[in-house]
Amino acid sequence: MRRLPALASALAAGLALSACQSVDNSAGSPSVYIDPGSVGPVKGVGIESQDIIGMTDQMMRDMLAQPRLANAQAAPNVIIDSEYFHNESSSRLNKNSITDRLRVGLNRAAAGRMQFVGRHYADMVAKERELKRQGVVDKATLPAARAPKGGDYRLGGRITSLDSRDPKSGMMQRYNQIVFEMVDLESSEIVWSGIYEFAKAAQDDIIYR
Amino acid sequence: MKRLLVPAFGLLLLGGCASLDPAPHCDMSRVAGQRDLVAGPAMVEGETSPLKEMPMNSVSITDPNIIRKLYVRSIAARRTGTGTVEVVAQVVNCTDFPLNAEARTQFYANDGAASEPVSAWRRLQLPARTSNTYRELSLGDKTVDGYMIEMREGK
Amino acid sequence: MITRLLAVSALALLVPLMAEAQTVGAKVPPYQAPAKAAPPARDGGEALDAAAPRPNPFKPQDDVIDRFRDAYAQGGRPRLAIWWNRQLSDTLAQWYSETRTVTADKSSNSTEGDLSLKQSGAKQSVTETQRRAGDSAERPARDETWDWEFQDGFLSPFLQADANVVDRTMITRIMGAGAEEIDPKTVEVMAMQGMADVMVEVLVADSARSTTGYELRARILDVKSGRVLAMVNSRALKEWQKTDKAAATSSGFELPDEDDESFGPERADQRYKATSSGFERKRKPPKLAVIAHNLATNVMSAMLPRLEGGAVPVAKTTDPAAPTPITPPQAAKPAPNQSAVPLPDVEAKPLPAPDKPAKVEAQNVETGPAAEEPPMPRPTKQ
Repeated sequence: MRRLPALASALAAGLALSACQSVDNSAGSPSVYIDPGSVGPVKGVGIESQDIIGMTDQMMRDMLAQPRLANAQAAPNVIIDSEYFHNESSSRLNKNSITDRLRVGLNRAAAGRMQFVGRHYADMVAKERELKRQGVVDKATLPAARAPKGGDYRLGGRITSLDSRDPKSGMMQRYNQIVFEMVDLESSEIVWSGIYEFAKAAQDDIIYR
Repeated sequence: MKRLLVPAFGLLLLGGCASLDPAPHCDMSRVAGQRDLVAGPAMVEGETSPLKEMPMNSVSITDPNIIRKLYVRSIAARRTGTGTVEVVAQVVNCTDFPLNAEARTQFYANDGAASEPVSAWRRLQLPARTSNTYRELSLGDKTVDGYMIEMREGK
Repeated sequence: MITRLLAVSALALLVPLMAEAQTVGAKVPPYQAPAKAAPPARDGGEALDAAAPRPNPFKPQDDVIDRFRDAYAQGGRPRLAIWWNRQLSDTLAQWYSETRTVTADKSSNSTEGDLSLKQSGAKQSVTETQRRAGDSAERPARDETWDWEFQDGFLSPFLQADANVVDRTMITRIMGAGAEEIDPKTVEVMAMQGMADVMVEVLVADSARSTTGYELRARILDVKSGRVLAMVNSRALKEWQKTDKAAATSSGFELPDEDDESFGPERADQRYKATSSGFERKRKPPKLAVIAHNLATNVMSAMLPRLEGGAVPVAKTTDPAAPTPITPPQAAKPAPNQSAVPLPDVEAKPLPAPDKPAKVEAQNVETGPAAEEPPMPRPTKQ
């Protein structure tokens, strides 16, 4: 019976020790950096970083599951840029941020399943080819190509939106629809389509710059 | 005694009729009881990892806000026409309120390492007492051997 | 009691198994390389490499030039005077007058009684103020360099065909040397008749309907008879017709507008320029020299039947190298038309032109038979 205090103290010490080793379940240090894939402190009804990351990730994975794009006998040449990707929505955004992320993500994940044509670098390539052919610079190490790569498929698409506002409460609602399509550049056949849509409602629309 | 029991039984039956809730019914105590966390990958040979987590190829609801509101009915994994992996998880909203959830998937290679970057959070809208399907596709094909889905409340 | 306990514990053991079956998903099926997607069947994909380049309607037509060379020799090598953007006008003289003052000396003349129209010894002088008419042959001037490029393009096929091309300015100057008092228009006609056989009048006019911003016309005239030998209008040239194709736009294909009357030469090689947003099609029409060259070959084609048929008269006696200059100005003038109204003696005095900075000169009008009333001045045209 005299052992009881000793046992109790050992138990208490054990408990205390276990408490020390438990997860410190408190908030981390505040930072200006936020997760671009999650909703940030400034949120409105327009297209935001988490939406861009979400839509490009979804489209990229979906494209890689389309056999004509990602499992063809010869890896197709694809052009992914914003030339035929139009923003018709009321959101102000640089559509390159969507197409660039899509191209980079796809190119990194494709691992030879697709080949990417840098059509937006056409002037850069043409200039260097001309310099090589004029003899201003040497032939470099890679063998010459008769012409720059042509495209088998090219990204097209459209961003549209539908806005509504409650004049009494000032509540703003916007339905955003983003369509991505891969078009066969020889036959104009649409070989793959993807849609990403969401609606947001907020008391006041924030300003996107 | 029997005289008393009969009306009580009748009342009980009446009570049973009155509480006709729409399906699905989620028995959360059973769900909690069935959850079996496994040890994470061991760092030291012969010892178990101090990390206890959801097993591979499962949905881990990481958000305490929704862990007692959602129930993952089924998870499936299959290969697509290009050899990539598609995971499909059916999620049930057990509450009488619409819920916003979002999920992402990490695909793993057979050595336990992540085979590709984690997917972006994909939003799931779950009206009251409905189920919805979460789908995700892998980027890689032959490199993918396992997956882990994380789910949290959408904000 | 023990059996019950066992049963409960067995159930408890079973529950986790069921739980795993529910919350843990199926394993990823092992990878089996799927069959590769075959390329879509196409009707003419392989023809791309063998495709011939589009025919260029503006390429130099050496066959036409060769045929012209032969026909030209066969036709007696007529001399060609090319009028560059100068229209042949019906103005006969470069001078015209709006007013004239008639001073009649009637002291020695009695008009009493029967009015005699016969005037003997009476002098009548007419003072006429003349100003130089704007050159009706002149046309809106184009850039000097434009002219150079155009003339270069137009002349080169003729020179290639070894044609006798004479310069209008040069022959006018040669013909008019020493005869400055003769109206330049007259000198011009004499030069054309004496030193050229065929006049090629090439005109350019601004046109909003043309993709080039201008239209061209060439007329080939026999300088002896005034006969029109050939005429080429750019609007009617097949090279200037629009290709009747549906145009691809961002809203689909658009069929050509039936009311669209625009026309103009198009580049055949469809040049694309590499830009930071990809390749952009150059919408520029062919170069001016190429268009002019094409016009010249069309003029040649139009002249071919005339040359081959011997319709172009050639003055064999005159040699462009040794023309007959006008030694006596009066003698060199064409014979006066007897049917014309007799010209009075006109004393011209210079008057600065108010509207045009034209050089004002005095010119004596031919003295004709004196008349009671001053006759009308020579018909002139402004």
